[in-house]
Amino acid sequence: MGNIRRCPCQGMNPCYNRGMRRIELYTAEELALLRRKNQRNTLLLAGFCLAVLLGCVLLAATAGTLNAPQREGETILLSSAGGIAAIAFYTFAVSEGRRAEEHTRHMLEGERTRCRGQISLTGERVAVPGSIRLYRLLLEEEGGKKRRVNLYEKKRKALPEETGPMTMELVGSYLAALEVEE
Amino acid sequence: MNVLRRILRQLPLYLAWIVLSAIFWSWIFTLVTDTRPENKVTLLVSAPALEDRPLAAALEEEKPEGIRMIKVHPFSYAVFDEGSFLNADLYVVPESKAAEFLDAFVPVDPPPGAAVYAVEGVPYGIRIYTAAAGEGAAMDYIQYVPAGGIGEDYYLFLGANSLHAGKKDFAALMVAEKLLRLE
Repeated sequence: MGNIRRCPCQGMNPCYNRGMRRIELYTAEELALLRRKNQRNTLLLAGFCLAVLLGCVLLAATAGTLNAPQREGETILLSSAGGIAAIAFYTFAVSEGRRAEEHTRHMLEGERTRCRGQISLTGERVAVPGSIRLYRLLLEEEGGKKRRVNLYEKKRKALPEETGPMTMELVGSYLAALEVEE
Repeated sequence: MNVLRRILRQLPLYLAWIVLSAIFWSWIFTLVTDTRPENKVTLLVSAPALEDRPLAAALEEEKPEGIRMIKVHPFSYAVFDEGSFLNADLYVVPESKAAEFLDAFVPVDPPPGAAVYAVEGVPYGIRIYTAAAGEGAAMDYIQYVPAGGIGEDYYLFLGANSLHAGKKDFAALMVAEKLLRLE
């Protein structure tokens, strides 16, 4: 899970304190699930593209003197529609899934730092080119220092309702886990 | 909204795919629906209207050996490509235009009793449509008389550059016979 070390701004013991609820945003099970899902989607995409190609080849093979223009039109239509569907599926499913997997792996394998403070949503959403989309949070640490941290947009709903001080674990500037007092 | 924006951002990619797709498959179909001159017989028709594909399909019912396809085109098909015009195997031309294209034809040996188009006593074409009688061959496929116009005789000619008029084989002559028998 990476090293836990103290954040320079305060010292908090690791989370085996009683009365604390731990919210782990990233788990190994989730990574395994993402991996399986991405493999399935990639196979699905490959299968779909192959089916479209076979369909086009079949249409071309059944073209005769009388029906050649019709077959040509059907083939172009199938190829165009199939290609657009494949591009869209790659964009919204395969590519997104790979980015999510990469990010989750990074969060699980990265070195974690701990901080205590309060977080609030800034309302700012950012899309990192070639990577995930995230929310910007404002972290007010107990020493009074403020800084921005990032939250993977798909983890938004995992944030607790409570707004009081809590202990956070970060990998780089990304929020990885929370400990909330119960 | 976010999804819609992402789709719109990819619109140029989708359009590029459609264009590439059309170009690629059109090329494939050109390969599939055409072949080398050695394996096809080409008929060019100069007439007011022509059902080229049904006529080609009818002629292909009795394809000579070694011939994979029979192509039928209007004269306009070869308007930008002189090679396509000069290398055709057979021509159907109205009498008024025959002299204009005579260099593209070769003399023929007509069947006995057939009406011919002759130049200085040498027969070049065999009559395929008689205007006076309003009768001819392949009238289900070739409209010989323009709408509201006056009809004229049409003749079937053999291409001077045809590979199938004795150079390689006699497939063009066989197709010509089939054409003259069509209703």
